[in-house]
Amino acid sequence: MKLTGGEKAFVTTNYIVLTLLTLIIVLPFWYVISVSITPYHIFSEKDGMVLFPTSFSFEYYEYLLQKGSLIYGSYGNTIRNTAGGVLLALFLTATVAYALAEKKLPGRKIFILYFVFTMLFKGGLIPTYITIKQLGLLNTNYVLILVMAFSAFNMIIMKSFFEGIPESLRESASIDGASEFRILWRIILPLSMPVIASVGLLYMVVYWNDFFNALLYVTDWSKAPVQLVLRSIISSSSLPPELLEAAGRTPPPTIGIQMSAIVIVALPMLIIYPLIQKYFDQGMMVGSVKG
Amino acid sequence: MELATKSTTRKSSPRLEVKFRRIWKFKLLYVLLLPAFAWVFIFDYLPLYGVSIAFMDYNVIQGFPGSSWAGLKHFNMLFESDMFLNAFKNTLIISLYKMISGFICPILLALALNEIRTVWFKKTLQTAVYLPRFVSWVVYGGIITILLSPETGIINKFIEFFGGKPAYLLVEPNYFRAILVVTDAMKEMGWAAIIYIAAIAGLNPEVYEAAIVDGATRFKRIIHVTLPGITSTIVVIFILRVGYVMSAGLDQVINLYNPMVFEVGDILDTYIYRVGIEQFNLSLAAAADVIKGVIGLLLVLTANHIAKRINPDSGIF
Repeated sequence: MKLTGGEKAFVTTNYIVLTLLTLIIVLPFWYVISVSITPYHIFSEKDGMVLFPTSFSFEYYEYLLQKGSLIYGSYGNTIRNTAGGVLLALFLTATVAYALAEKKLPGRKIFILYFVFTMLFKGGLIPTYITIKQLGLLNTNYVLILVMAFSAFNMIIMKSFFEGIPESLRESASIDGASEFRILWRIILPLSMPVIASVGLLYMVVYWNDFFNALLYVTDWSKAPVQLVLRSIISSSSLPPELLEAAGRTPPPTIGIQMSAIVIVALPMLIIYPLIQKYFDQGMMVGSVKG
Repeated sequence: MELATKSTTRKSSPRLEVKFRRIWKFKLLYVLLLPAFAWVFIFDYLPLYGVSIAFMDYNVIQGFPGSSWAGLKHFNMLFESDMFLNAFKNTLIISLYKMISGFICPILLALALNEIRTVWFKKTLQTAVYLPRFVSWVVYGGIITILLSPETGIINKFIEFFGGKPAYLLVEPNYFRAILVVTDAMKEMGWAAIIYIAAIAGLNPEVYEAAIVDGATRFKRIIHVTLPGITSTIVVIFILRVGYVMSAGLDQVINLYNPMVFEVGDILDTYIYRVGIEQFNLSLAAAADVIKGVIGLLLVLTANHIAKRINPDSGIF
């Protein structure tokens, strides 16, 4: 297709503006990675302007990740919380979404109202805190797995996906004599991989990135997720004593520690999401628009 | 007596039986409902009972038994507290700013991305702009803090380079809200654009072809075809955002603010956290929770009602 002069200018401007915008969004991340692998003397020689690392050093990473350090232990906590949390959350969400996707289910409307009401009105931070405290969950290993394990919004996404599966599919299977459980396990589940992947990713991001629930419910450093440790590394101009104590030798300069800690904490999600991106392009958005 | 019962059972049993059979037919589905039902009861409905501490002088050590009723005392205290009123005002202002930028940027981004015809380039841009959505505000706030830092921050190096005076921007009340709005847009706009990208992808290609035949330029096609095509999506998203005005971004603010900018940056959520968890004044903080929750509920209901009037298929419930 031939473009007129005006259109050419329009297309070119569009390319330039979008490229600039993308650079503005990506460059901060690039800069942080770049500084985190640059030796400190080069960083100060160049007065911080290290957009491309010219020589490499992993001293910050070695320091942060040595065995027994605070970040090492809290990383394990985060991995455990995320793995356990995503499994639990997917189980809770998929089961109820599948049940409510059945339009003939007696009492369906009331159940939907029961779940959707939680999106409208929440008890709030303090009443929830009191409840968690009275249940004896405060400062336990599993409190963070439990408190984030269900989102009505994700349930609605899954429900509309299940509603889109043709009923004839289940009917023909049940005529063939398959039990209901077998239909669920062998037919519905494999079909639902796109929505399970995208909702699983949403939960994974929530679990991995949570720090506020941790701030509320976990006071013990040995149970803290890595986000909480990162927060204390960033917010204090000097490193927290817990971190120093665990490491046992003179730490490298704070700025490098902060940047490499950021990379360590952020990297797993940044690697995983492009892999799952194709799923949320396909399946998920259909559900969330319609509700 | 016995006879009477017998006759009633006989009378109603067919209906009951039908009903029971209908329910029994779905027994597996009810079992599947149960775990989430229990979870929601414990973690969403039990706290509703905890709301009552807003009307008590809650005793932290003894719990509910050791607490006495206080009526509306804490609500009166809140409305006389400058700190609370300040947080309330900031919540509205910051939400409003964010609503404008966080609402317009994703639409423009989706429209612009739609005009990119080179597939690999478009995919790369999309992946790149989604990226910040997948890091926590601890990470993103950390990056912003480092970039803006007075000694080592690269932003200040640029300001100096162009002859300006370096400043610690995060403690400047004049800049703090702007920083919140800009960084929020940078972090969220890519992800927020997905919904519009999906809506644009769903438009009928024949309308575009007709527009091309009629000689519409690309820009005209955006104005007269694409934009009207996604108007209903835009309206729904806008109205839903209105419903969440009372939440101005806890994760972001708590990772960026400091006492120097409380005056312009303290929001209801951070106020509740400080008063309730840090100062252990649970009843006062819970009263603020109630105010926030009730206004939020009214806004969501109103917003949803309006969304449904504009487009009966829209709204979240």
